[in-house]
Amino acid sequence: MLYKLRIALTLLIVGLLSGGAIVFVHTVTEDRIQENRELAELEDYQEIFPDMARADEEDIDHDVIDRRAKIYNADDEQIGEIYRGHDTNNFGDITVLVGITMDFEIKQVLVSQTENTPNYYQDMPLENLAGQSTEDITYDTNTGATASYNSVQMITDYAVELFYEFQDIDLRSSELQALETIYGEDADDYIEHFTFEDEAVHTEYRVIDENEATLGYAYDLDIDGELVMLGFTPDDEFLGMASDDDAHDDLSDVFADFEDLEGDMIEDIDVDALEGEQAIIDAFAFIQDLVEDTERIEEEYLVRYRETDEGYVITGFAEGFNAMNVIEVTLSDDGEITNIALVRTDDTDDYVEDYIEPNLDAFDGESDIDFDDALDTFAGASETGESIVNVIVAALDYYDVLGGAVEMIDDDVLTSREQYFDEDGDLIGLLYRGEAEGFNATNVFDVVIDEDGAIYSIEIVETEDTESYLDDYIYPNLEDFIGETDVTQDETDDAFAGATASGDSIYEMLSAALSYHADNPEFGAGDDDDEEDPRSSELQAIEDAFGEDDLAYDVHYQFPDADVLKEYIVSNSDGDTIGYAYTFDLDGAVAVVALDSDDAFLGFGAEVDAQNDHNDAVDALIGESIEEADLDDFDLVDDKADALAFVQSQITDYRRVIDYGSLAYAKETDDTHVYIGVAEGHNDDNHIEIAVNFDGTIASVDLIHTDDTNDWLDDNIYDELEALVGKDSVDDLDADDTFAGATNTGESILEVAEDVLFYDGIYGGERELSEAFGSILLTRDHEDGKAYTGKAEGHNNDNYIEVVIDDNGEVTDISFIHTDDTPGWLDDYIYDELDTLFGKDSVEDLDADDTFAGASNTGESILKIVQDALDYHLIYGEDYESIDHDVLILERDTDEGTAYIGVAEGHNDDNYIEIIIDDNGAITGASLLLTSDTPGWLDDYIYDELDALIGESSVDVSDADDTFAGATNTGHSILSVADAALTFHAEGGDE
Amino acid sequence: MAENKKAVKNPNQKKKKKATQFDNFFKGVVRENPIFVFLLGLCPALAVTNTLETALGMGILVIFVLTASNLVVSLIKNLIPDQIQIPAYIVVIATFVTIVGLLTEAYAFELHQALGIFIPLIVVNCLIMGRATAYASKNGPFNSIIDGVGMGVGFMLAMMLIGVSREILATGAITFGRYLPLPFEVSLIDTDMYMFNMEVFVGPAGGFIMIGVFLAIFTAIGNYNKRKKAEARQAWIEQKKKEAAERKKRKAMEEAGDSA
Repeated sequence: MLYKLRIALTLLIVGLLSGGAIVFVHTVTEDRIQENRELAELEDYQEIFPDMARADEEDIDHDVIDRRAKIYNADDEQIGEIYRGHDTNNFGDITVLVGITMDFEIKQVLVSQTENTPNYYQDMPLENLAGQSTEDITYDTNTGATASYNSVQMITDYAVELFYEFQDIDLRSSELQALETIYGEDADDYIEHFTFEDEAVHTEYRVIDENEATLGYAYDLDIDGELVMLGFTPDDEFLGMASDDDAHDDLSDVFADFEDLEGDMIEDIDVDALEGEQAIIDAFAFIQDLVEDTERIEEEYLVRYRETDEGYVITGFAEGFNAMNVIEVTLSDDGEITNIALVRTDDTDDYVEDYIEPNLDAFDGESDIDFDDALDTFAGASETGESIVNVIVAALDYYDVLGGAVEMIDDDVLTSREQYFDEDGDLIGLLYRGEAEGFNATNVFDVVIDEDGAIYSIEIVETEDTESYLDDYIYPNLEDFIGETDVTQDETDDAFAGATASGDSIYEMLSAALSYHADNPEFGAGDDDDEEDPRSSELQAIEDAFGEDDLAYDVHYQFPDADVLKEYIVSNSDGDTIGYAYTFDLDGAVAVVALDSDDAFLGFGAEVDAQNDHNDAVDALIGESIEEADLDDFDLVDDKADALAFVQSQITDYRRVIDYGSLAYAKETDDTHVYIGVAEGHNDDNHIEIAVNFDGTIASVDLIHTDDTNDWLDDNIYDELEALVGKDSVDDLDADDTFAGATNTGESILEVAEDVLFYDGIYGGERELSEAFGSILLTRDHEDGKAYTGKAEGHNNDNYIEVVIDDNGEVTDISFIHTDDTPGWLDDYIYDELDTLFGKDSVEDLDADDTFAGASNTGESILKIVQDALDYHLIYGEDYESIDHDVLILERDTDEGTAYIGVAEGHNDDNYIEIIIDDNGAITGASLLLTSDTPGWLDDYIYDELDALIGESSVDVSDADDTFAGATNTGHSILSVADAALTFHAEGGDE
Repeated sequence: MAENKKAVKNPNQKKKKKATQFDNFFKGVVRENPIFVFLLGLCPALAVTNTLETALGMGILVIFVLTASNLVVSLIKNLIPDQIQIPAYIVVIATFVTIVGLLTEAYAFELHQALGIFIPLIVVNCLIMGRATAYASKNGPFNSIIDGVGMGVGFMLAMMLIGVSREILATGAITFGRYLPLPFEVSLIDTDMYMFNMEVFVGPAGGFIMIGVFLAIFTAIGNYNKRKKAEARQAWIEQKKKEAAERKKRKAMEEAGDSA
């Protein structure tokens, strides 16, 4: 503690002494330094105005400019003024002197003091400013000293502004003066939106504040040569009228006649009842008609639109050869161009007749045009043509807004959003477009938010950042935000370290999109009648068929040239597979055949616009296995009948292969296993059928669907396919060698072959699919008993391990069917240890770290599979029949009667309980086969009570508390299974 | 029993001490020149050596800061705990840089304007911090002063060498009195070299080129000297070997003569 105190004290003393020394020297030198600065400044003044004889300085209260000096010559005439301004930019402080002559010219601008890097600021082309008129100063754009020059520019602008102020000159235009009177100090500028010809008003202006936000719209007219401005809010509420400062008072009486209208909506003004200056009344009438008949558009090149019975007429305004051209584009309801008219132009009639009018029809019927191709249409009239094409393209883009495909967003960052679909046409989510200020300029982004509200993709659409800068600092880190539902400033600061400005723009965009999406998840908010279903057509059909919401679907297989288009695996919101859907075309609409996970028919479904009761004709089929149904009994329309027949044949002939690389289907013939796989080839996906002999060698390879041409296949593929026949492995084959000249298709064939051989190695042969049970996949009979194949994650990848269990329920053999572990490694760490498992009927008490020291991962996978195999054997080891029941899973015949095994939730987890019932319906046996309850606990609370069930022919589940006192949950599970078994048995079983 | 030994004063010891102080000073000029040997302080060496005068001015400022900070660091070295040595020394150096900046702005305003941002940047000149930690924190005040002056002078001379070269090549002339508070302004040398328009030597590229050229020259000289020394030593060793062989031969002959 004392030590730390000493440190603090030392630093304090050092600091105090240093500070004291500096204060002392500063005090001594202060005056002299001030003198030097003033002298230096006078020298600077002299440099700016060489004729200077004296300077009268005064301090100014301003954020940037702190001093004004009036410069006089030897005749005591004022020859100019110098303004001194300060700024602090990225490189430090800078002081700039701006000299302005009394003729409103920039005399000279120089840097008086600065901490900015000398090599930068010294090279600034300040000499270019000298001699320029203060009314219109042109600054250099490429100075190589952006920060310093920006400071110079800002100080110069303020200096000019103050100069005018001191000279009592109003720099504002007449229009701005009038607009500031109407809109107040907020009005910063105005943009010409449209000019009218021979109308009551000349121009429509968009009035903006300093952030370029729209304050309203104003219209100007002349009254006795004086400008009059009528101002409205963005919603067309009348705010008032004004003229410039000089004329406003003179016209106050004229304006007074209309003061009562302030606050009224333009459409509510009774123009006929107005009294006063006729020009103003005419202006109101014109504006009223304009607002009632048309809607304003705030997009580049576009002005207004109106709806007609046939569609939309969009008016555009673009610069042509001589002046601004007014162009009208008429679109049908479907967004196709039906007419284009050059409504107003200063081009000569001959010019228009020769070069424009003959080409206007060229776009009729188009709903999308290529800009460059369209320009070529107006060869010989490029500028007017370009103005027309700009308007057409903008109008077609705007149609998406009118049609509802694009939703405009009034937000600081976001501009619009629309639905986003993937290549298969499946709806992914919403694409948000927005802008945010980046390093060099405004960056434009497209961000897709998926249906879960997570970021799906981020794209920089427009930026002025260099490619190398984006490659170094931006692109590598954009992927970090995919899948996120929330973004913090810290995360983007970290991700884009070294690119702060661009990173900030990305943060702004992402947070704006996520926030807006969270508040407005439904696309196209508005009348419910107009609301479009955001789901894809496929999802609509699937949810219709399954009768559930929040379903997900993944493509399993795309059928080439078939009645059925695709097979989808359908899952619920928990991610569990609930069935399969097959899409087909039903009179142009998307429809599906739906099966449950056991391939029982669930019904038809269709997209919303085509939904009706599809299933009335097939009610009898619902719930039936599709394989066994006699489809001839049902009278269906052709599309449905064909689709259903196709699905039936597919299910009958093939078994689905799911999540095994490129494989989609498998089936067995008399002497082979046949597999169908899909892999990307030369042009598109290739569908490849490979038959494997029972000895595991390839019998044949066929391309059953491909976009490659027959000639090409003859030349490059068919002969080479023979090279695969007879092989039990393709690891030693290389696509470049085997299929020279056809690498892509060759690779696809080898990929499928590899998957086939792998799958066949596990699932081929005599193994059959097991019941769903832990890691167990397959079973087969073995000379020693039963062999069970399970899959579990090992050291490198999944291990497929077969466990042989004898009739005593003990492990007799364990072998690797497939593993990515090396033989040497297995020798070192695994094989010897496997012996310790033989003869065991349980491995629950074994620890992978102990048993397989140095190979925990693979060891764990082995122990898991072995235990699952032992448990599986306990349940399913002997012949049985499956039962479709909530509680019971199987029954089998035993010497003591029919044994029923059921599953019910116990004290810790599910219990597997066996109840044996004799022909008289009495319980002859009751046992817990699998439970996570401890043996001691079972001894105390269960086993004796189980024996009490023997002989009973009925049980009351509610007696669990009494019968199994102290073991209610497990007791309840036992009684539930017993009750279910007795009931099931009494009802004749699963007949 | 071991013979008692007594400490004997070395009569040459005093001479050696004098040599040490001079060596302490001179090492900074040549053998341990900050710019051409240690390559320290290259930032000002590039930035303000476009003229001889600014180089000289910066050199003077650095001598002052280096000497003063060495002295103060040496005086307070035992009072500062190890953990806060660096920040404490930085405060000391920054104080003197600030003082020097104020004094320059007061009494050599043009020089202050010419050197600009590079005056405050003296704080981060690794030469100053390096000498504070490497020497002043381990030696007495007087030696530290000598070291500071020597290093500062070496720094200044190196800067001046670069400055005079660049100014002549770029402008063809050497002017004096424009920045330093002298009562005159004069062109020391005026040639027609400016006709060659080698203005590149005014800018950073010129600084790099000149430093590179001088480094090459001094390194070559240093290597030559090293080689010469090594050759001389080798020759001396050979000589010594010869003499030893002669002595051995003589002794053998004597012994042979005796026995004969």
